[in-house]
Amino acid sequence: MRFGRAGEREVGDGQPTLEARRGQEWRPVAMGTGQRLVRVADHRSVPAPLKRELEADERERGSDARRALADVLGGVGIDQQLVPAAEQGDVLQLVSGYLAVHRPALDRGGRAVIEGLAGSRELEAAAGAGMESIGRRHGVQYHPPVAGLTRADVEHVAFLARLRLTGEELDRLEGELNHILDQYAKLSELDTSAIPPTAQTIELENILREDVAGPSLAVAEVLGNAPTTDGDFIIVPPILGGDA
Amino acid sequence: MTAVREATRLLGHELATRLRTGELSAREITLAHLEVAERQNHALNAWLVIEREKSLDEADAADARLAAARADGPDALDALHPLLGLPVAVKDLVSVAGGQCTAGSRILDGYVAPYDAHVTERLRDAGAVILGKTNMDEFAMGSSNEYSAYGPVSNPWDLDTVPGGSSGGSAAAVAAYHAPFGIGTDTGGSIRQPAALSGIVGLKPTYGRVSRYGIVAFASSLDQIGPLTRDARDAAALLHAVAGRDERDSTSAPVPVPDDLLRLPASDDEAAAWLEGKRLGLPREYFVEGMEPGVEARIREAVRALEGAGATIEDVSLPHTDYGLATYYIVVPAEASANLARYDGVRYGRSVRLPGADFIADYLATRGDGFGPEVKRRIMLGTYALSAGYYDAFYLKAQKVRTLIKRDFDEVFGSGIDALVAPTSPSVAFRFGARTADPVAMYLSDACTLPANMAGIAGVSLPCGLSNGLPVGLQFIGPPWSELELLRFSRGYEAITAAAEWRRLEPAQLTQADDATGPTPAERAARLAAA
Repeated sequence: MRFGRAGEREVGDGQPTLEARRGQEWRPVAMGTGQRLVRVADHRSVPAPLKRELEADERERGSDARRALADVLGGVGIDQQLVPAAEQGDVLQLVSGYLAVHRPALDRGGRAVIEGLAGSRELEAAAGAGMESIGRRHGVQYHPPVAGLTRADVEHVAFLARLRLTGEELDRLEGELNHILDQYAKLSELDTSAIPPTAQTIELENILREDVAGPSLAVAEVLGNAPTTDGDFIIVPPILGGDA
Repeated sequence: MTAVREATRLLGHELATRLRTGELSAREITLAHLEVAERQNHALNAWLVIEREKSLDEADAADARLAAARADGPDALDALHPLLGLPVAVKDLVSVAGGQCTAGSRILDGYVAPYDAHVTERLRDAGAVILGKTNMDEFAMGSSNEYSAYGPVSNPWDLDTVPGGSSGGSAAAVAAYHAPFGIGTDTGGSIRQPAALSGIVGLKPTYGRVSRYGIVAFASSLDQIGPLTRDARDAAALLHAVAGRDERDSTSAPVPVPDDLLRLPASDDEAAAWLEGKRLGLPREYFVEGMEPGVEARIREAVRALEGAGATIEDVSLPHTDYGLATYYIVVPAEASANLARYDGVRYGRSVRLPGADFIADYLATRGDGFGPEVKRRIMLGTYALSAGYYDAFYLKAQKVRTLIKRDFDEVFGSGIDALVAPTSPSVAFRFGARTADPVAMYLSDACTLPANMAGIAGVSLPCGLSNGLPVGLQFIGPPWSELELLRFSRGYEAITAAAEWRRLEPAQLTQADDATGPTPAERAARLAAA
């Protein structure tokens, strides 16, 4: 069977948060009325003119900083084609600034140096700030994933929910659940520390009735839908004994 | 044939009048509707079961009640409910004793409801005729009816498009004249959105207005039952029949149901005059980028018409609207995963028992086989959102944002706005398969309807014209218990657009729907998917 074991382990990596996770793919957040429908389609295809512009840009780029930009974007999983060429300057500026201060050697070029930077926290932060600023300008919100559910997590949740899923279903759900959970990132914009939760919208309280027995359904009617019965009883699967 | 066609074209209140004058009997009315429903179900798949025998028995009982009342005199005749003897299409998650109740799911295939839902009892009290049970997205999860385990439903305006969902079967049945009345449920838009896409009226009452006793539960803090009809007066009559306190649902509220629901003005002049001086709010967040231009144009025209009739239109803001979808898609899967935990294959429903396996393996197999893809997705989301360590980050956070969404509405209505006017759906009916590939794209269908569910308030959708030949829905949203006012707004809007060209139009592909040899909705969907 394809299931994890029910146990003490928490789902995910045990960091319950809506905040950004490092080092994972950024995705456009589509779940907001401000950017719906159009935006869902946005990340599927890049318009031809933009593509040409990006390709021309690619040929021309020579500077270390621009190469670093590509690496940084790649390192945090941003599809560079998502960033309009004109807006790449935002990220570029941040990255250049970072490089000028922290890695002056890079000015003299050197692929190895840049590669060494791929996992740098500061560079990722710089790229992140750049993406947010680009997003603001375009009305698209970029946010790193909030969940990062792995295949093992999906299997574990399926077991908790008592759902037997095929390998194909698990594969599909891993992608879909992460995609949906990413949309929840939007809520982290709101400070709700002083807001009480709403569980019920109408103000009713202490709805009580007299403790009087009323008519009930006949036993036969109730048992009519049970898959297996014995007299006035429903036969349930054994829950004790065996190797449980 | 002509007599049948004429009888089915009449609105509920017109049929009620003819019953009382003796021009038509309940049996004749029922037979006429049965004939159309049976003929078109091949092409539309709106019905999961059509109860010919039972509905004719109910029609005969109604005719007997009518005869007895007639013998007793005018007072007895007046005391009869306007629904007496009239056909109702009931969504297949409402328990009707002795009949099926699948909730659109395989896991309830073969289940026989042992009792009547509160709604069913009230329909019986009124003397309505339950014509059958209608198709729906599995457990009401969906916005297109494509997630039904019993196949998709075609929209009579264009058989290659969806009728909306989850109450898609009731909406298509009412739009195609199979019944003047339909019962739906609305958790995030499941009455209003299919009403909009199918060109009819659909009302989601205030949470607590209609008892949920005997309804298959989806998300218990949001589910409400309401009417789908072809005009505001019929919606009011059906709501009147089913609303009110029921002690078997502790969330059903002890709020009086206004009898004025049965007295919406018949005269257009009177209905239009009511609009004079009313204050309507236009929430800017509901007019969004990505909305179809044709939809926006119809809504703007409707707003101008309301203004022309003497209502004042004020720009308002509901600043947390944009957070509605994310909030909804945490709260709803969480509640659904808890509600659906009951399907264990032990007491009722589909049951898989594996030889030699332990009970956990039986549960896994029963639920894995019994639930469809969208239901599994939501159970997974909900289980995850409620799992250890994630409750605060997801569910509690969402409940707090829900407070903010509710406060937005409280502030607007507190400032003296009588109702909000907005689009129901950002798009018209879409083709089969257009949104099934990306669950988020499907969820976006409900962006304009689900805030009312989050806040527990009432909303109604009514037709306001066509875009590219398909119906557009206009939505009025009001404070708690404002159903009567919302229906007066609706009736007023109907009155001021009574002469509009589009009101004369019938669903464009009704003739094709008569063809019992053509493709079924499932075949159409498959053909589109292959193209």
